Amino acid sequence: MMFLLMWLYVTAVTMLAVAVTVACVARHVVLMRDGCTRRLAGLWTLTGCDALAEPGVSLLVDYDGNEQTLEELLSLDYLRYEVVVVGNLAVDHSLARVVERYSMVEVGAPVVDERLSNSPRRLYRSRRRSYRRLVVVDSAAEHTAERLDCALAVRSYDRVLAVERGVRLSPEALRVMVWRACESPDTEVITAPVMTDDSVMGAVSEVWGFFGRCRTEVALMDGDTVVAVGGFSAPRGRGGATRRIVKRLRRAGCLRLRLGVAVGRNPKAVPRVGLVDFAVCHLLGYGAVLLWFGDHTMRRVAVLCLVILWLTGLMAAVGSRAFRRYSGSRRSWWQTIAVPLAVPFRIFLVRHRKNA
Amino acid sequence: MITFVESILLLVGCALAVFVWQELMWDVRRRARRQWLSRHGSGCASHICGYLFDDAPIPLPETECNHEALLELLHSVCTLTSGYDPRRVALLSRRMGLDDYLQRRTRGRTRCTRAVYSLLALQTGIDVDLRLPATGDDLASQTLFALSATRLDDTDAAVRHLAARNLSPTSAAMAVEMRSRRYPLSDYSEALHSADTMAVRIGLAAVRRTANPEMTFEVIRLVDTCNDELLEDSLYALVALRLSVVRQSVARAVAHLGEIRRTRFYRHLVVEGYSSQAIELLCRNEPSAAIRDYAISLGESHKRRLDQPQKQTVL
Repeated sequence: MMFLLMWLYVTAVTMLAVAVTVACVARHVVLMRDGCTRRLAGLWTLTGCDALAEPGVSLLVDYDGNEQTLEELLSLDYLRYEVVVVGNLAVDHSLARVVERYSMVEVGAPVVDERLSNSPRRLYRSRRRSYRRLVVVDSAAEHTAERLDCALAVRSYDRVLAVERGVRLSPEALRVMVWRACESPDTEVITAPVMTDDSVMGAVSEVWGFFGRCRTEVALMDGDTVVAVGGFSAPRGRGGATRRIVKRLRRAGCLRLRLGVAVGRNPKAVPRVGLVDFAVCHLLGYGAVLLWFGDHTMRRVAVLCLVILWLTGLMAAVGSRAFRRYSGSRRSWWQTIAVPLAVPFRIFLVRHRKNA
Repeated sequence: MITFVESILLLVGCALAVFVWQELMWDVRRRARRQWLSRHGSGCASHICGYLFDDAPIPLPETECNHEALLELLHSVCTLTSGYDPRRVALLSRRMGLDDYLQRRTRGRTRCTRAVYSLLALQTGIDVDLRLPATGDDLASQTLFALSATRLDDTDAAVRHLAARNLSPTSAAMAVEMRSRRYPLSDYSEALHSADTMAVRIGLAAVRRTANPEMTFEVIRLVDTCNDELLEDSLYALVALRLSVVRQSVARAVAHLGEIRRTRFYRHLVVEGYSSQAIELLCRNEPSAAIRDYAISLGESHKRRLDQPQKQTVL
């Protein structure tokens, strides 16, 4: 019985180690490709006067009251884009502050788009040239999807990207996604995951997202196609507005390109201390320690397992560094180094106690 | 005796070790590049500018040279400035040993990272025998192909070279952009008269970029001919030249477009600042009432309404 339990435990630990290793390797491949794409896209320096060559993008923003997010969106590294912010001016005082701060003035009549169910009440544009990209839409809509529909109606560019609450885009996000859109002009939807965590489990979830099941993602879509399927709001369902519209577009037969490039991050989940890393490594470490007291063959297997585990931890550390570089996570060096050191240190402690 | 499981684990371990080693080396190279740029970047950039513009002696790095960093620096200087002699850049790169370095880097498949360096090299005018991919629909290989035309001095020869391949509008625009950095006074009027559709597309990309008013009659002629393949290119070129769209030929050309492309064109007119009145006149014969109303209302939404009270910042 004891042997069976031991065998089950060893099998589970080995499978877990293999899974984590595969996830880390896949994450690295994705990040390497990401780096190449970013560097290539960074060299893509057109002057922005050719709408055919450099398609415009309308960012549809469901405003969450965070002005820093708005500042970041207004300073993305791309030329042809606008930021359409939607909210209820009568209720949302933070949006009213935006209208005041950016010297917005009410312009023209609301846009008439019969294909969408929601229309905006009022429309504001900035009188300052430096904020010409900003558009504020006053809407009485309560749900995110309905508000995004209002923004969709007033957009000035062909491609749209919905920025839901809590999601922040990296500065080169648009450039990378538009680069891919130009690469495959027939593709109506281009999705990219949003990095959620910098732990080993974060790597696992990203790779999981790369294969199709992502908790948070952003999508660059063809605006007319979105309108043709009824906009963001119809019909309602589970999940975020972006995930739902992507699902509907996929059902409508639209071509979809899924990027491994994480173009944004969720600030609520990023700066973790790596407790999950410690938990995983310690679990694997205990398994290796148990194996250490087995017979000669098992011991050799244990040593090899240990090498793999250590390399896994090392890769997790390197991956975290790459992650930190891309996402702006503030994980310190000692935390990064501590993860791969955790397992050997645990082994050393146990052996030392035994010898003593 | 090593068992089967052990050998598998050993193989996996070795593969992982190689992978980690490569990762670490990649990271070390990146850090070295950053460090070299932060220490010697500004000084070296000023030396390069001095050589390119003031006939200063050729700047040679005093410390051990980081080729990647130097290449990035040279690319930045050449991108941010204009009016330099490309031959001086080529001479500079040869003296700095960048030619040999690039020759080594561009072996094999010229994609991703290697393509980046090739792009940098070609933009700065360094003569590298680049192994171009024979085919390839991705933008990187198309751009590489487009950039290879920058090595040809003669504009017509460059256009003929580019027209041999089916380029996307983005690649065509990129080719024109890169060529204009090296040869700012290139004349593409011959390309607009060409019988080859791709050559005309490249010429129209040049018109959209430079908005040269001398090309006005050629663009209007192309709009009049209503060639389906070039219709969108020529209409957007017409807008880039800021010409009036209230013409029968323009209305006829727009009518040839599909619904989605028509909507996109109207939206583009709005973004480019055409008045709602001009859009309304253009939309007189628009078959879809929904698209007409949408285009006119979008045009109005970009302008301030004067019949409203002037106290606009209502809070």
